[in-house]
Amino acid sequence: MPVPEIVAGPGEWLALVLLGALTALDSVSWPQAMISRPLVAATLAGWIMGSPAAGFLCGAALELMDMLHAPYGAARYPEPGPASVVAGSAYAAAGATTVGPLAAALLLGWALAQVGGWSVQLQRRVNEHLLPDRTNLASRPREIEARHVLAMLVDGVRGALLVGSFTVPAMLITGLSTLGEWEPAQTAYAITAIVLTVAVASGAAARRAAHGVQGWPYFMGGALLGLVLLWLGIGP
Amino acid sequence: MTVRRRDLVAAWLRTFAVQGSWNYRTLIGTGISFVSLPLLRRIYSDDPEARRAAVERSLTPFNCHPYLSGMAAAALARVEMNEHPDTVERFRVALRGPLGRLGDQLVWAEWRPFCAMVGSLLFLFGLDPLLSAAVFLVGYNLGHVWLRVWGFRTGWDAGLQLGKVLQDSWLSVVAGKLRPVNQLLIGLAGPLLAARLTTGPLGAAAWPLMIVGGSLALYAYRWPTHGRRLAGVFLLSIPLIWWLT
Repeated sequence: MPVPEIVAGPGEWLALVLLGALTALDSVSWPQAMISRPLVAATLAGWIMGSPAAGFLCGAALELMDMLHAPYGAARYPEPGPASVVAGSAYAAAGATTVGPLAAALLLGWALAQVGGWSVQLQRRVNEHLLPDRTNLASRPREIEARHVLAMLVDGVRGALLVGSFTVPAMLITGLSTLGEWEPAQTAYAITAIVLTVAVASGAAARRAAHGVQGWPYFMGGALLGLVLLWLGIGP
Repeated sequence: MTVRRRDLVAAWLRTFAVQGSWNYRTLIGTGISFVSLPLLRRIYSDDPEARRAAVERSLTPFNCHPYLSGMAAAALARVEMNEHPDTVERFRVALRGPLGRLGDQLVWAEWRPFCAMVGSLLFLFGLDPLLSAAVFLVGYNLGHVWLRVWGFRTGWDAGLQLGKVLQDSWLSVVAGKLRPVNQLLIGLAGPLLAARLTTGPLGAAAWPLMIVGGSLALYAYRWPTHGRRLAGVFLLSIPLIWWLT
């Protein structure tokens, strides 16, 4: 049985950790330029691992799944940035050839986004302790600035820790998923499950973008157009 | 004291970090204070006690869309220059709801999905992955930075009149125009992405699967919370089925 070759040395790990810190920062603290979106984070992670296309593909699916959530106020929502770095790099490292690593990467990306969401909540509690009450702070504007920047640094460290902790295990899991025997029926089931995941994610994401307005005829029109293009052999 | 251009630029640059100390006690209140400090230092440069009181007001709980935080900070600073502190506090409370709602509707619900779908579709039709991600990033941030600039300028110019400006705002008009386009693009991306992700031995089962997928997509459209749960169930079932069979 061929053992998958995973080319990830300390240099790649460090680059991914730094990308994780940047995506965690970008997500909320600074500058919210959407480097943390799965489309970008997973593509960059895939690029670090030598396959930006694998990263993008994984990121596009995670993007659709994450579009169900929006960062509204104090609500808890999954954090896709560091999770996409882990998933994109793991899928690219596993060779991005079969459905096993793809399923593993998507599952890891989805699960780690939930973990990221919890860590954001925890950090918001930590920030409460970093900031004394306003009467104390008001006479010391420099301290407001210093503590604000400190909270941002903590955010970056949080992202680095998430990616640093989960990258190697994730690569092992996606690597192992290429080792096991995949019967045709198992492969067919995995493909079916991924197609249905994308389908329900797109439906729910479209409803989110509809923002209360019934836009399903447009949504179904788009889906039919996609099917016609596939039938004609245009596109992927 | 007259506010200089460099103070305005410094405050605007700080809006990119407005959520840096997000917490459940003041939400982005401390961030708004962080953004406002260059302006408050200038406005109250010759009155330390008034400055301390203004900084304390700026530290009260506040929340709005981060891209429109500059609009809030600039308008509040302008009101600090001309109005009584009670007016500042009332105005601050009045700003929270509209700035959050408008930004959420335009940016999170429409502009971001629109740019993401354009980037995804370009990749699915053959564009290089790094270029596709760059198209998303650059396109999105053209709108993002422009909104921050427009918001800050509008807040500074309008001051206490900001409510009237927001009533006639183009923000919700643009969001309304993007809505059907986004529905179409997300619908289009669904089957194309599914086909690309699952290039494999489906054979004759591919079309029935697409029909089931389409039905489930409509179900998720009607009940998005169920759809979100279903996505998790489908993903979790893959290793389970693999392990059990």
